[in-house]
Amino acid sequence: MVMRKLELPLNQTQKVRFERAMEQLQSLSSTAQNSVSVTDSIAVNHEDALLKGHGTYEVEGELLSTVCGVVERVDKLVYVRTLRARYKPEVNDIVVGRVIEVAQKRWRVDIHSTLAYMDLPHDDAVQKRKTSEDELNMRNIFVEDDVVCAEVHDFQRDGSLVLQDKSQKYGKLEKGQLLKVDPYLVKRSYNHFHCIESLGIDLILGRNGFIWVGEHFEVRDPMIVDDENSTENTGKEQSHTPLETRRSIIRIGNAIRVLSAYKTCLDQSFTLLSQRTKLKEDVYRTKVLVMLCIRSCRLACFDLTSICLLVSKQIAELSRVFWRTYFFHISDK
Amino acid sequence: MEYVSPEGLRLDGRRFNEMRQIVAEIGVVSKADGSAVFEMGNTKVIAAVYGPREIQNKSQQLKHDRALVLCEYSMAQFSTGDRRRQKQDRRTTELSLVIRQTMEACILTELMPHSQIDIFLQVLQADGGTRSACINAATLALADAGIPMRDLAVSCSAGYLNSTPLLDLNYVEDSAGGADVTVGILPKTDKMDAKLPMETFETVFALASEGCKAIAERIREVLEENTKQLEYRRAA
Repeated sequence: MVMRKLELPLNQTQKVRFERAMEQLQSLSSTAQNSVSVTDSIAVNHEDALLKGHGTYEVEGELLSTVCGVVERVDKLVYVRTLRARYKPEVNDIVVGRVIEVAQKRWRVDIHSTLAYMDLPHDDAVQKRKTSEDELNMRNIFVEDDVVCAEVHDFQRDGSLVLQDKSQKYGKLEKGQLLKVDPYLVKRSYNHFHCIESLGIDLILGRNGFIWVGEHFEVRDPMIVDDENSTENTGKEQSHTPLETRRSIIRIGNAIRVLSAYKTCLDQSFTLLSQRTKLKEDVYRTKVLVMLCIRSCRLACFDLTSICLLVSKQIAELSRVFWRTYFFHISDK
Repeated sequence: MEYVSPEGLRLDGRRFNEMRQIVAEIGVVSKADGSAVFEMGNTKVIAAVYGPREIQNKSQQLKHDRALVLCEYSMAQFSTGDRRRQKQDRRTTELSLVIRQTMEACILTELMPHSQIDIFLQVLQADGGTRSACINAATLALADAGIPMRDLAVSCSAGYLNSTPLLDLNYVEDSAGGADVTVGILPKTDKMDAKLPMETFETVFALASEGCKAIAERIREVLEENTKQLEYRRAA
């Protein structure tokens, strides 16, 4: 029996501090009060026009929830947001998946949800029809077991998905590792691509709970092809990933494993960790997150500002400590 | 044999309307979408739910507008007193079917067309009432997997021995040859082993229903606690 829970070896003081941090988090969380479990009735005012959303069910004039989750109200719409559940795709979501089959004219991609396909891309630069030759050359683009990043484009009538990789951001992912976390930990946000510049690492948070940690890759515009650059780049691509970057990838990967084992939302942690965003929002919550992150790895550093300054260095440091102890316990498979 | 002492106590010291201790835990199998362990006294069942996922065997798909629910029940070799040989016997197949029908009735399958939900149940310790424990464990696991359900399907058994209705029979009482009913609410009476007059059936049935409600209460507590934990940790 594999346990889903992960216990970190904290000493007594750390344990107490950690528990206090969690309590603080609990008291701060207002939404947890709205949580419902299956067949709890949802209080609604029936006089208002009401839209029953996902996870609700009406029995004899009473609105019941059909899943465990949190009641959300948007204008007239009442729905229950599930927590642990399979990923439900929405158009324009960014997902990371693994190619499992090369079929005719399309690749079958595993995104831990319904059936998903990626069609053979149109070559926009050269407007032309897809020929049988293109089909034969499909394996030059993606083969089985490749990790790809794509966007949800459309739903088919039979419930399957069509993915697209039109932008340069999408496509095959190489030199890194794929992690799987619960999908509800990745919120929909403006940016799912993060770059931790100080470490030279790219991070893609797929909405389906697949997370890619890999070596930083410069997105180049294909329209502007500079001859010198292109030769230079191809030379660079063939080179190996430096050891330091590999280490960083593993460290960041482990940090994600800790966070997901403690069921913390990953976006915040990583917008925090990537240097782009400034810390304006919920100071407490960030503090707790960072504490969680750092506590879990035995570093006693509490001052928020110093954490903000140090965080990108420390995440490497703290996951290094963590890595030593835990890698074998929580490796992905 | 005397199953109820003159003081009204049963072999394991319970009263006629007393249940065994219930322990329920969510999230025990890391790879599954939902999982749970459910214990009733010495009976212990582990359930894992996978899905909704795409249908693996297209020939099993009978209706195209709803999800396919599959259930596999097995007993661990070490679950009973003497080591049992693993085989698909009649009882196992029947139990899988009963549990599958019960769960199918409570899952809102029409919301998830073209998909399949697998429920795997394994009895780790058997001491009477495995059927009930399985249904309860499956319910918990389904709720953990975030699968929409009409209701929490809960189950409890009751029997009639020494002219007393007894709640939640253990193995000794179960094999005593008296009548017993396993009641599932989303109501479904699934089996009767011996003849039971109508008036006693009423009391036995009522007793089992009471038991079900108590279990539902407990299950709901566990789920609620779990949901709260997940939400505040997620830090919305």
